[in-house]
Amino acid sequence: MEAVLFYIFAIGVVVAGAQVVLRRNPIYGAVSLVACFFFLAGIYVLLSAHLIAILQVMVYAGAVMVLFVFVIMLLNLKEEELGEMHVTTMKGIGLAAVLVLVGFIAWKALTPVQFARDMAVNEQIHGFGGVKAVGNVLYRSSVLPFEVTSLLLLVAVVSAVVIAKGKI
Amino acid sequence: MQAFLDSLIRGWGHDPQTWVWTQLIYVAFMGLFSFAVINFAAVTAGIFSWAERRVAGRMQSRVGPNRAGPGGFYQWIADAVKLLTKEDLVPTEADQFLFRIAPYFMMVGFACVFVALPFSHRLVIAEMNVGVFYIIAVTALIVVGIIMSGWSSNSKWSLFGAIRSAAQIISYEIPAGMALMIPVLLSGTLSTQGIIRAQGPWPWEWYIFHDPASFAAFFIYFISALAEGNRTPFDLPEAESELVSGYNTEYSGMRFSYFFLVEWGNMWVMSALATTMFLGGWQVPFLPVTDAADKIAMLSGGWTVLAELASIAIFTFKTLFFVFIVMWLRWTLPRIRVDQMMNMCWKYLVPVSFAAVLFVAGWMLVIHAVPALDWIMRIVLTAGGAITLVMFWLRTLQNIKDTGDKFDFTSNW
Amino acid sequence: MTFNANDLLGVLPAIILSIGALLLLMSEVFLSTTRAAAQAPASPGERVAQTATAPEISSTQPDRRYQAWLAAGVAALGLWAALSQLGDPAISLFNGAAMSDGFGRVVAATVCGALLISCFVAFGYLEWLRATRGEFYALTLFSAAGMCLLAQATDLIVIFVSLEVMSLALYALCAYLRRGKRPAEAAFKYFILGSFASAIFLYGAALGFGATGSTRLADIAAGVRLAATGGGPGGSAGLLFASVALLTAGFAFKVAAVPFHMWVPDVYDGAPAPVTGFMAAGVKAAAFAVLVRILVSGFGDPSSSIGPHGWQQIIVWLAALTMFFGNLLAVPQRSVKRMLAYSSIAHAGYLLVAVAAMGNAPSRPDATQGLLFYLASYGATVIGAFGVVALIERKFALAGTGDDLSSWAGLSERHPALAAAMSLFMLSLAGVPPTAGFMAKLTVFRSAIEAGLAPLAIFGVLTSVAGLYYYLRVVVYVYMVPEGRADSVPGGRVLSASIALASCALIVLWMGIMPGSFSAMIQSASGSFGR
Repeated sequence: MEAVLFYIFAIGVVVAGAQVVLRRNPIYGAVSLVACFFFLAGIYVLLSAHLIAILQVMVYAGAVMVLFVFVIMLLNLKEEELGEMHVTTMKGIGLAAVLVLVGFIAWKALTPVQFARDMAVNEQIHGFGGVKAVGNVLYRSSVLPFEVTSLLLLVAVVSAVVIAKGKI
Repeated sequence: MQAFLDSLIRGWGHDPQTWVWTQLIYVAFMGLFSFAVINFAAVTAGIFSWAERRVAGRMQSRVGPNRAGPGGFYQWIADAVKLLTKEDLVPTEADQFLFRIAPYFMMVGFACVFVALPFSHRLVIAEMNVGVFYIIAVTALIVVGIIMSGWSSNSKWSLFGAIRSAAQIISYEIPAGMALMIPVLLSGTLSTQGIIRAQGPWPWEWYIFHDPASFAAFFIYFISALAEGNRTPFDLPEAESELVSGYNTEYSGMRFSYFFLVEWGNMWVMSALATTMFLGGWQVPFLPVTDAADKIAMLSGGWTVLAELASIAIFTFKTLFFVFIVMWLRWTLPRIRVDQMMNMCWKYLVPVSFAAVLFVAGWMLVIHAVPALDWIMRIVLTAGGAITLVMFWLRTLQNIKDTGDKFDFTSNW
Repeated sequence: MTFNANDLLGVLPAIILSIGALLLLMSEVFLSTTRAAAQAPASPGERVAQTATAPEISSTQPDRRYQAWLAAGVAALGLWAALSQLGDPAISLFNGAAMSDGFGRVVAATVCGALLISCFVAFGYLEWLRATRGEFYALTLFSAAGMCLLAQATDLIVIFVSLEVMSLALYALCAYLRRGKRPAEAAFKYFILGSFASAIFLYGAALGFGATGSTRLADIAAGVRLAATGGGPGGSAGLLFASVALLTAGFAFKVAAVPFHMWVPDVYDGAPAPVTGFMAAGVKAAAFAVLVRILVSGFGDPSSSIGPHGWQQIIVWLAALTMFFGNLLAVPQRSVKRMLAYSSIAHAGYLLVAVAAMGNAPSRPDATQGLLFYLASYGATVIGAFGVVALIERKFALAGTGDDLSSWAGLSERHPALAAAMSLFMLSLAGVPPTAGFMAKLTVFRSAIEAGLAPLAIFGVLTSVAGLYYYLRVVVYVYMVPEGRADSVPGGRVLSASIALASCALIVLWMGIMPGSFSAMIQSASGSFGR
């Protein structure tokens, strides 16, 4: 059953992700992104990373994407403002490069990879994926990136204020 | 739930680990539970729609629906049938796909909450270790649905309503989330059942009377939940005098009914959550259930069933009490302005909720050092609450006596 | 599992810079906006501005001059912190998330030094434009903090987060002066392409994590070793190869190597000149430091096919392309700022030569030294050059247009010192003997030859000869072309800029004439390149 669910979620992620890129209408793109996040959360659940799955939905689908959609709605792009769809050589080359890269990685990744540090060990850690386990990792071994992230958020806020403020 | 199903399968004489049909049984029961939950949600929402009109009638000294059935109780069924059979209109200029799918987003977001909401000592569909976060997270789908419905309607009233609603819900999610973090902080778990187990059956064991900050947090949560549910005085997204009907203006028939289903059903959700987090949930007096000892499970035979029923009754009573308060507020308070709504959130509730979280964290250290303070504070706060309630009751009686109003269960019905 | 005070001490420069930035931001709150109008005298910039372009300038701004000095003080403190730890043994911080070693400390010192000088350059520039705001210095400090962390990071997550701290602050700084379209265009291009580069980096990091199960560079190195011996997991060698390619591509964006250089001219052109100088010096130092760390500490296992011999080829080709196109495209530029942008691309190529030379273990110490020396010398030179550009650019910044070589004509008559300084910086960038640029190129090319990359070194020398043309053209305009326009006078308030330019010139000369003392300092540090 897990395998079935995984394929449902995985196909959902890929299809929704492709929709984000391919859709001309930004609202559809944003809504597809929300769908993509939900499927991704499903995959997290299958990996028994429950907290991450919930946070994925809460933070991205719930808060970030709503603000995205909010802004897009306020801009309210009309169909005719989006312009014509052009197929250029550069786009073709870009597509080919992406396909080659993805194909290469998929080909490599489809050969069974045995991890240097066995992932299955994680399952045996008591309460893996729960709040306590994530908290322990966050505040002990990953405390530096955690703290630097707070710096990052502050910098982002200040930068946004600088950009949005009146003329200097 | 899995444990329950496993025991069921064992009862049939199979080993759940090896039996081939185990997965199928899981799926079947998942379907069954979903069916039960959605029906519970729909029926409560329907009954609330009747109750709301009755309460409004009583408060405004008018009649309200009183024709169909005893006290007009069947009115909500009639309404439901009417909405189901109405024509499902989709405006030509609307974005067909999003317009059609938006109400389902709301329904899904709303129904998913019930998975983690407890009803009694045993009656909870999934006891998750991230239950509270889960509830906050799936509610987010409702915002997505509102935004989609507002935008896809291609109508300015809908769009304004959706934008207001999104701004309101996103803003009030912060104080609501911070306020809910206080019981989490106190109990050390995100599981809804775990939080109830960490409280006790008596008021002084509830988190609302734990300390001043959690007392404030309860009210912050309640106000924010009102705003998140688009209930008066925060019903700006559907302010009929300004926006026709807000984001659901263009909807009709069944899809329209979904929006109202969600709105009324949300009253149960917010009240049940308040009960769970702050008011001791289903805890039965004299039968406290804690992580250490489960007094209800220790009972035997029919007593277990009785205790279980008592816990359901207690939980339902507390929840319905708050549902009534929500209705009461709707028919008492006027709608506030947009700027007042934003001010209230960002200038008052958010800072206060952050301060409350910090205070509780500090208070936990204090009572860790001086345990006696814990009990003194709880008793003082509970006594204060009790005195306030009594005074309120006396004042109400006095008012009724002065105006000559009396409870009249005959003429109105 | 947990961390202690030593860990915090290891990232002291970044902490000092962050605290300084927070102080600056907090001090903004307590500024009174009422008293300023009466006492602030009309600056020369304002007088010119009123006659020339009449921009929206609010005259009721509070006095913010202290901010430059505060920022400079913080930068000096950070510099001291980095230098004071220079000789200490390398220690791993935060369970391997970062590393305090000589390499990181020298880069942190370079960044702090660049910041210190940039503060002086920016002071006069911003005061003249009356555009001083608390956020400017705070953002530069934040960005420098990100750079210092980047230089010390040994975990892909820390690298990514500090990269974003650095970049986000710089995106905003590029758009700081929003006059005309160019700053907005610069910031937008930088932001879009920078985010794209970050995404590529993240993809590479994810693949590396997928192949080794860890984001720590030490664990990745173990995975690489395992893959090299063949006893490792099947398929991981391919994933690691893709990973190192994507990681390199991500940083090639940041260091402006050639196929990924498109953003550089527009961004350097559109950003305010002091910011450009800081960006050129700081971002290069930090990005090269982390590139070297990933390649050497993470993928440096000599026995591996995807190790040095794999990525060395990528880097060699990147270096050759970058040197060639950077120098070639710089030739037709009329704007000195754009010319310097292309020159910065070319210099990225020379620095990549040093990185390529690190692929071979025997030449690694020399190449590391060369890289650090080059970064420091390039930093001092380019900040000086952009400092002079800042003086010239001031009035164009008001109008929102670019500069042109013609506005440099006859500079030697009006400002002999400025002309001499500019010539010195140009000579250093070109790599002419008594300057730092020459010594830097010498050490880099020597290490390349040591590593058996003689053709690359010869190619580098040839391209740098070609570079002489456009550097000397600026000198020609400054000294030999008569003054064309009478209004091209650099305005007042040059004192702080003079301090900055003088110190840059001194460093350039000192590193050029007495490289020994400086490289001894680097040597003591780079010996302890931690793994």
